[in-house]
Amino acid sequence: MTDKKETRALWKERFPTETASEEDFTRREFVRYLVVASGAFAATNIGIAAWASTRNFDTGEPRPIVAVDKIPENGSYLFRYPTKDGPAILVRLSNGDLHAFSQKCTHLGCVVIFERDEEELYCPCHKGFFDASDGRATAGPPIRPLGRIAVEVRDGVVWALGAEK
Amino acid sequence: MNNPNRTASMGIGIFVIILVTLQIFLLTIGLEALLAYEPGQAWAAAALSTVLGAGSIGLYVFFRRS
Repeated sequence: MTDKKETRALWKERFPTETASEEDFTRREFVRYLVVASGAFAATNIGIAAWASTRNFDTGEPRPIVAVDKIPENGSYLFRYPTKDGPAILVRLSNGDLHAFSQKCTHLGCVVIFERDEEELYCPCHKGFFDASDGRATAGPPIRPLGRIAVEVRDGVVWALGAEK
Repeated sequence: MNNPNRTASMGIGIFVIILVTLQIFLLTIGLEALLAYEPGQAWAAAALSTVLGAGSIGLYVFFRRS
């Protein structure tokens, strides 16, 4: 019995499970750290709100994208809009309607692809689905609709007129 | 028998943990608003976050004085 106690004490001595300062860390200190964290979160949120106020949405300039006959029916065409850093997708539905959207998924920013069979836009990262006619989220984690790009056909060429929120 | 002071401090600690959890949630709301170009929503999240931050500081001060 005594040997067992000694063995356990020796084990604790060799492999301590508490750090030297652990017993000094009080509940009050823990609450203090949490209060500081709460203040830091509040300050961060104010910073984010200020940043959001200064950000301007770039609608882009009207420009030609592609000739209509180069887009297959029930198919898609990838382009960049409003800047070269903005991936966008132009879809031509089976009824001939043309719609363009930002290709960035509104969940975590992966690119969406056109699903021919279902005529919807699909984000392979987390299985998000968007309606290909208006960009609204229909299934999966995304909540916000895809950014729309107004398009118009001029002399057989599809023009992007401007991005919408 | 429970020590009332210990119970109170533990209760305040749990309450502050809940406040910080809400702060993380509000941070995601703010970031979402930033990405969606919705400054109004971001300011609403910031205002609520400030209220929660002030509340947790008030609780801590109250906790220290009592």
